[in-house]
Amino acid sequence: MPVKFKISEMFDNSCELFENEMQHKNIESEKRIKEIVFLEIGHTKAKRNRRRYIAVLVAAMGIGGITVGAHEVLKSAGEIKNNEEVVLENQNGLALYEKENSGAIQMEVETDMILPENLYKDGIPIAKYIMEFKTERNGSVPECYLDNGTMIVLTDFDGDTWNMKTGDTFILDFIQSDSDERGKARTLEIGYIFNGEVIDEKVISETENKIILDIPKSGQYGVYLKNVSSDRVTISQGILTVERGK
Amino acid sequence: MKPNSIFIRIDKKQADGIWTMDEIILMRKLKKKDERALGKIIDLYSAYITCIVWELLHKKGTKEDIEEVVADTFISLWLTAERINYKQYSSIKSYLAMIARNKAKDWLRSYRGGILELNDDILLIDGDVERLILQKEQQLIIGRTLEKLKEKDKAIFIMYYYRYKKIEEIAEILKMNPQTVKTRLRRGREILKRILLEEGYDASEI
Repeated sequence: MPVKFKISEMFDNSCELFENEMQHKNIESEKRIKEIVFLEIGHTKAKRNRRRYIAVLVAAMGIGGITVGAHEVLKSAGEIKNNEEVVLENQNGLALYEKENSGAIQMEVETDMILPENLYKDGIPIAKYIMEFKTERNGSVPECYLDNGTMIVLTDFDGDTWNMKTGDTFILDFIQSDSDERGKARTLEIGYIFNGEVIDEKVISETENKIILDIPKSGQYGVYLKNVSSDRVTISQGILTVERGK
Repeated sequence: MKPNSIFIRIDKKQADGIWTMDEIILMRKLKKKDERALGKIIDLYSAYITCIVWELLHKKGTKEDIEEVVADTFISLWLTAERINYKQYSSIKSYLAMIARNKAKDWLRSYRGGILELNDDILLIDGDVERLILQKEQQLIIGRTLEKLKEKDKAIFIMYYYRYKKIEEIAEILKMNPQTVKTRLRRGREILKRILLEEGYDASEI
């Protein structure tokens, strides 16, 4: 069905093409604009908190509160909480699901920390499934599992990347709870995400691990783990520490 | 800037609509209501947004009115950050610019004693309409249209549809006959329709 479109609106949406930057900044105007903005959002926050309080109160009074029991399809990576039994049942190398689209494996990406152009290497997806995991305030990494070809990107407790300087280091301690029939630990790739790019650092296949990642250049960093073995890997007792250089 | 010398910038980043990592990080923080991120965005773009708003309001509004509209733009960004599917836009800057233009037009509409007459033509577009909603797509189409126009035709097109000048005003500025201005506008619309067709859309005027 045809849709009406205004030419002027197309121009509005393209205004970046026409506007030159102002040659000088008006500092006073900028200060005033900030004052107006932060005064207004302060008012908005107060209103929202009042509404939230009312919503909580209503819920506490027993109005609403619907519990729905549902069986969730287990994703390719996830935290182990109440689903421990389900996770452990499935750790015998069975792929839970694999989406195919005309012969190509479809990626599922639940992060925007990796720029789209870096999601492929030589035309092949870098992982089948990528998701983010927040660490706790004390650096603890939640106990989690990764299926074959899955990558998890660790962030701070706020879901942000870490601001690192040259000379700083990440230290990641963890245990791999799984091993193959010969008792050998599964293989993981570990590295960092910097500026939207995946920088692979090490490949490891030990049960107990202490990995040190040195930061070569200041900027915002995330840490990733990728399961490059064919079977599921479970990560436990993980701690991610940031050490500041001198 | 002289009215018949138009600066057009279509860099590869905008053509591809690729966000930089800094912008993505800022938007993520903004979605989590990080006020420092908002402060940073105001530092980066308030001059640019002021430029856009000033362009529309300087004849009718005061300095304070312009500041209010600019502030409104950033407040709108703050309030809608959680909902924005920012990948539909080529950058934070282009999203802000779009909001700023709309806020400025709203201000003009509510300006006491003023009637806002916006020059416009409506196209009826058939095709993959959902795709057309992407701002970065529209930028490409407009950019390509303007590239194909001669300098004077380009100037007329922009003055009419973007700077909302009347036919008579344009004719006076460019020292042309108003009928000639109309003819050149029509030429521009023909090229725009042709480009839409090349992109897979069928467009006609109503």
